[in-house]
Amino acid sequence: MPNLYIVRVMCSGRVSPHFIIKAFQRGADGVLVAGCEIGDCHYGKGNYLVKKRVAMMKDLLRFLGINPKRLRVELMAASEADRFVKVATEFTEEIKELGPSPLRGAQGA
Amino acid sequence: MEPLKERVKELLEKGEIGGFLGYRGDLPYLFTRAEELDGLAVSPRRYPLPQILAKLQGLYPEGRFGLLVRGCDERSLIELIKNNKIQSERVVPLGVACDQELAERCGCERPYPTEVLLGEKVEGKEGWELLERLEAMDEEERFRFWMSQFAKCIKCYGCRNICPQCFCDTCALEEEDLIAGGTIPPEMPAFHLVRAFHMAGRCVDCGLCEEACPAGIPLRTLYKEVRRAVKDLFGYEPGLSVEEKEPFGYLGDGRYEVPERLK
Ligand code: SF4
Ligand code: SF4
Ligand code: FES
Repeated sequence: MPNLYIVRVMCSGRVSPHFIIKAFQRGADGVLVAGCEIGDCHYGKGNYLVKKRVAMMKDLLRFLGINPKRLRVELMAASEADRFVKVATEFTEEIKELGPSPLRGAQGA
Repeated sequence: MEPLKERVKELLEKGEIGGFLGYRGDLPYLFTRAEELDGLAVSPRRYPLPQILAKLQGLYPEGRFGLLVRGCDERSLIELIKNNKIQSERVVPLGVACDQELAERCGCERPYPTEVLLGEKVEGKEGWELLERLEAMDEEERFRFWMSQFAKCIKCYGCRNICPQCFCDTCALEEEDLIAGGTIPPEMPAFHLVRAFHMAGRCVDCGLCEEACPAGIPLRTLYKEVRRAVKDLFGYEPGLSVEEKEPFGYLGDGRYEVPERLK
């Protein structure tokens, strides 16, 4: 089983908070939101809100008793393959340490 | 009641407003004639009057209305104006301060509007006890707490329907790709998490959702955390000023960083 499931979107601005919620509801142990660096978004400013959204979502997860580390946002260039690999590996390691999400086996998972 | 009645009478007679949205008995009522004003009451029951006003303005695109506003109504009104659901030039708010009893029952942080036509300003007492208790718990305990609360939900949508800040044309909670249809309780925590996220930058802490919830879920505490986080993360407090922009309502310069403690 691969431990990373990639959901492609046109731009990190497309990552609605709903996507993040649905991923956790379906039992994802972690969600990594990756986007272009500020200034490099192909749509101009699609990524301007992403960190704000993630910060808000992290606090809500925390408040509901789900470790906020399970959600992360990283901005990087599409050409920086090494960077993506590094971030994804680190994130996977961190999630492994946290263990399965408490939502595993929840409704809809 | 007299100062309020007189002011409404004057506004109606001068034709400055076509109707006044207040209460008759315990229910919201639109007063359109001065003779009706004997029935005008300030019921301790609360309804989301600004939400009703937004509908009235939609039904009567030329109409100008008077509106009874308590502290919570004023905060709602401000957010609805900011979100283009109410046109400010077509509303005349008339302020009522809540009495001590109601202020305490509501646990209101500001039980009076900016300008008070009726009643005396008293201070309320906000209820933070449960929130503090939850913060003192560890993660697992908090998780169990909320899951056991959400398990009581009968998906009646009462919380959404009563909320003066729920004004989207289509509701994400009814989107079956997001929240599966036909299950009770609705998917946990997705249902409540979606609503909580939508309240970020909007919730004015009126407490109506918790009052309406037949399952007794401490919704207000969930939304209090939403408010606290929005203030802490973005320095924004809904309901204070029409000018101040809500954090998700504008792009900004992209330099926002997730604070260290949440990373
Ligand atoms: S307290 Fe509840 S009903 Fe009132 S604005 Fe907030 S979420 Fe809506
Ligand atoms: S009012 Fe209570 S029971 Fe009804 S949908 Fe909202 S949380 Fe669930
Ligand atoms: S294209 Fe917008 S963030 Fe990459």
